[in-house]
Amino acid sequence: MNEKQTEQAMPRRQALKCMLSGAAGMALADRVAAQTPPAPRPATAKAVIQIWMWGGPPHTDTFDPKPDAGYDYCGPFRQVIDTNVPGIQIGQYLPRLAQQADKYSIIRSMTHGVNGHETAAYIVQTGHRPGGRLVYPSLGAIVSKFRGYDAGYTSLVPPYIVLTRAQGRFDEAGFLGSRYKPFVTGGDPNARRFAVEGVVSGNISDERQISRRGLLNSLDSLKQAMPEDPVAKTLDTCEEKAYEMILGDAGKLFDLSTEDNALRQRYGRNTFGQSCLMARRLVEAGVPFVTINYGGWDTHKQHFETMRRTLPQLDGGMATLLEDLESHGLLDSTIVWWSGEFGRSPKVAWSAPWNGGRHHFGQCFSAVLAGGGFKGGRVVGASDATGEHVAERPVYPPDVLGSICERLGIDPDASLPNARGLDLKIMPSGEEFGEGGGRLKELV
Amino acid sequence: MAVAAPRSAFRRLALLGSLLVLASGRRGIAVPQIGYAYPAGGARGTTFTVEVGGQSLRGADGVRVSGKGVRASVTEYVRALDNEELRDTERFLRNLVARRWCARVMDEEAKSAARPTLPDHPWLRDLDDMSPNETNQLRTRLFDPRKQPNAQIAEQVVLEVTIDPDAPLGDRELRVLTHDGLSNPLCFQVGALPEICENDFAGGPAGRVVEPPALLNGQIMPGESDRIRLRAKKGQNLVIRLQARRLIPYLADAVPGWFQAVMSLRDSKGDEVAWNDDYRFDPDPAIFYKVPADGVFELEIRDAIYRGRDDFVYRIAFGEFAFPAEVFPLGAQAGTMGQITVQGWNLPPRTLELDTDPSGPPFRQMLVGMGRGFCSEIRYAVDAWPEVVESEPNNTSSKPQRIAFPKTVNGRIECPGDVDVFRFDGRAGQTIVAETLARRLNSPLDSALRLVDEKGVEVALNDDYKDPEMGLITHQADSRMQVDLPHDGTYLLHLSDTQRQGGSAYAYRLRLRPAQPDFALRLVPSVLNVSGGRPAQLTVHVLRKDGFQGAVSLALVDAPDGFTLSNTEIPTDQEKVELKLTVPQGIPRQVLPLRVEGQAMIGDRQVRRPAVPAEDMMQAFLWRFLVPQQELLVAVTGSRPVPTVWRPLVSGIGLASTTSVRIPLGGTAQVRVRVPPVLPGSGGIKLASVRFRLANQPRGVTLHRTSKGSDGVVFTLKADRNIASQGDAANVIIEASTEPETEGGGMGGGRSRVSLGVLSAISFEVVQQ
Repeated sequence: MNEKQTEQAMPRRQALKCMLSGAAGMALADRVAAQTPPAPRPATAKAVIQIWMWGGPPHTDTFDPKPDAGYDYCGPFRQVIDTNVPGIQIGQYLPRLAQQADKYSIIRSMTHGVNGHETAAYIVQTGHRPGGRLVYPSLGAIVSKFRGYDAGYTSLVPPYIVLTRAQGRFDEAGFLGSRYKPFVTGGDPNARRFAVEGVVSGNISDERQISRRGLLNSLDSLKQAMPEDPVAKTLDTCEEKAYEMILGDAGKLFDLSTEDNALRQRYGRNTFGQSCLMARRLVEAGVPFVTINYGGWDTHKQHFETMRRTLPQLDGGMATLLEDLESHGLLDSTIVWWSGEFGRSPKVAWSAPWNGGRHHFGQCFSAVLAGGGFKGGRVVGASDATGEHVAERPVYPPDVLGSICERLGIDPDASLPNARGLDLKIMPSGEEFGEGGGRLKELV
Repeated sequence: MAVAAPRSAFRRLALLGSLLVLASGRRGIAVPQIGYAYPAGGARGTTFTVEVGGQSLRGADGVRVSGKGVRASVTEYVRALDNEELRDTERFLRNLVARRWCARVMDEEAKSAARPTLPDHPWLRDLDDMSPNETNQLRTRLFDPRKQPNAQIAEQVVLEVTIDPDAPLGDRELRVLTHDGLSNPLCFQVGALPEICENDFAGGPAGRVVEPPALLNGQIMPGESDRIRLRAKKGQNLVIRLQARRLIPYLADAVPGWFQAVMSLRDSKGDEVAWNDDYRFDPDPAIFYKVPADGVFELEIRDAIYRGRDDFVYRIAFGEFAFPAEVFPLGAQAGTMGQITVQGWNLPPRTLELDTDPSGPPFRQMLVGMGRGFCSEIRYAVDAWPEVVESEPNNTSSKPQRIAFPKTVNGRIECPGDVDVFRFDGRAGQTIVAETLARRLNSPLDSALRLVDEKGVEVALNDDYKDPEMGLITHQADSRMQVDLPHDGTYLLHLSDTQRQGGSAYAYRLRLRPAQPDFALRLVPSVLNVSGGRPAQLTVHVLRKDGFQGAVSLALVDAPDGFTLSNTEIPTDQEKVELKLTVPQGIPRQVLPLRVEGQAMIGDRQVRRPAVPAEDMMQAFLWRFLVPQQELLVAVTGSRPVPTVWRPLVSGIGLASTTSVRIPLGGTAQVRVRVPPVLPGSGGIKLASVRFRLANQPRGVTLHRTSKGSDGVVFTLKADRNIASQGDAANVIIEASTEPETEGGGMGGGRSRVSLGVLSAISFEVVQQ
């Protein structure tokens, strides 16, 4: 199923405006920002890289293989490989990730029971079930709220960045408001020049950009007529910041040509691989939340053909990301969170029109956590012999998100500021969510 | 790596290659599947051509249409063109158009491009004689970039269908037979109106003007709107009724999960005079229009969100037909002289007699409008309990209508906001069932039931409940509650419309009755293909009613000798059981009907119920429905797959031997394939750069190794002892591909695999080692 993702995230101008207002301290405090934030907790992580497997990755072909389940479940993927952690095996198409297993932990008992993209994505990204009149913010927006401009973040680079396409299935910022929406880069980091929306133009050189600015200034009759006007001055400040973003260090952040070519090759010369590299650079620059929106996993048809093509990309990009974060000394302070909105049906749909496909499966799926204070080399929970049911230690989305919040020093049980003044928690309790397995103490 | 083809060509190759992989990406025996029939019906007393799209249709040699009076045969099989053939065809057609329309270009093209040899394919015959319009239609059909590859409808068979003059009107089931089995069914309608197909009414403003009455057949492709010119006269009460979802109720791989047709009618000035996208809760639209003046109107048909595909098939009845809009009551008591009054568009009130035979099913139907060539069906219910007609005023708790228990009430929610309240006496611990029948009988009512005691304390509330017997209704809005009454006394049952609508069409039957544990059975699939003496697998679902939890025993009824079912017991509380049907070895190829029945002890009664054949259909990737079918059939087919002749995709490649490969169970066997060092016609692709892999997944058989041979390559096939079985026989499809370097190109960019196509199918048999 090919689902066109709509661009619903922060548009370029708004993103620039937002980042500049934050940097310049010009943003007017609204009711959301004015409410008291939760008390800071000791943090082991400074940043999150979310690898969002849009469409739903197949848990049984990746991190929870079931080689003994038979052909109707495994199809042609009957092999598993040992990892560098004794006793942990993963799918045959992830050999490089197998060598990094000591850095991450696999949750094999994720569940929420929802098989619709929109609802499941909302649950996994917000930790809340939909319903009622409130749209909760995604984890990225929460981090943007508590580790972004409101918390003293001053970089021109926005605190919540999505590479490269908007998720588009819900409003990531929810009731927090557009100030906390992600900045969506657009473009392709694997292209010769990574054309970032509003920052890097694919066809205009820096020299030409400077030349254009000169022309713009010469035509700016308003500024010339009223040089002391406060509005004109504010606009001038914004313009300064915008050009600093485009032509200064912030803009250079997106220039991957400065990276070693061999490293780029190890990440994989494809959009996902280079997005992983870009994510490392962003985290290195202090960005607290980066989402890599990695589509192409909704494989109702041609599943195995697609997996043969995409799993090696995932393997190369994610494995190198873990290596690279560690070599830069960033893994201890950066959480890598790999998950889709659900898994895929362990039983293969052989009949027409699927001809060997896997469908949506929210009853049991996998997620992966690495770095930022989470232990590696562990497996949390277990699925049954076919991967269709949770057999041990069910883990629900708010359990994972709450655990990530804790690593970031954000109290998941604290109140979430909102314009209506309601007593809303950042993450729901198990009772509020309907079910709960508890936070991931075993990984801390 | 030497890759001479341009990137655009590789993109096209990749796209088309994926289509071919799709077409072959399955395992084991290739049971035929059909996705659409166009036209999906015809008129009595005519012979016409029908195109059926599907998968695994090669070798089709038979057609089965349920009921009497319809005969059909396969006249042609149309395979999916492979990527090389498509490339040649595109070049040829481009040149053809250029020759016709531009002499200068013709000269240049003639110099630069040699006329390719086109494959032997039904669509590519007599190309030189095609009109420009026909050429464009063919180009659109083959190369429309909006069309996505859909293996499930990539092949076609062409049928010649004859409908006898006295064939009964109505919906039939059409299936296609190949050597590997009988396909799933598709709806095929027998009508009485003159039929017109899209080619005959297309053409925009210059197109043919259709006179009523007529039955119009068409297909909607991506982004397409069909426009039909219709002639109408002042005073006519036109009915324009489209059927699409009725023909193909569910599309598994589309959202929404059916062709959601929209109709718009414009007058000669271009003003829209009528529009519709559904009729009440039926997704198929209907337009009723009283014509104010003579003229030619234009009817536009499209998908609501501009999707389209070959299986977006429609039939439109156009004329002054009787169309029932109001029926009352919606049924009668069994064994009584039941009558209903029906009225609607072109249908003044009239009384009809009902069939109330106590031995019949609870839901029945009759057709109206037979005389005008287009029928509408009326559904009604026949129940065991005495009946009463709702009597107003009964809108409040203080003025309820008193009824005895048990009773069936025939009523209406007569206006928006109307609530009907019924009072009855009950005893503590008494189990009662209150159930509305409305949506299931084509009433627009979206009922809600609320039961309160005499003090106004709510005892039970229900809006909708799931009725798995109604596989075609996606919003089953009828209400039902089963309640153990808390105390002796008087109870009030409130019945209303959840959407606060009402009117004379908002009829219902309210069953107020004791619980009657019972069950119904659905058998999936509706055709059991028994191949080579291997058993057919089937699933029987038990739909439990009113708390029935007991076991059900299944048995064949009047089956031929030697037909046996395994695992015939559905245990207590279990919802379904999977069975196997075994037929005797050596019986000839044939299709025959089958009956399965279930029996259970309910109290001290032995209850028998038929297993209704059904298809387990998926809607929009997610929801599943058991859709009843007319026939349960067994197709006994041969013991070996019929060797198929695949044209090598990469010319110059051929199997060294055409005999079936015998692979020892747990061992390997080798197949030699002749391949020249440089692939002919590939732009210089060398054999050394070509990769081979399995494009399908035959059960337990893998491509173990590919090695260089003296005049090509040698494939080593392996039969896994743990998966394959002795006697397994099918085809192995091997795909050739190369990996040109690309730059950028999205998440899948970098180095991508480009399919060169599949080789000739290699038939194999697993033998004892």
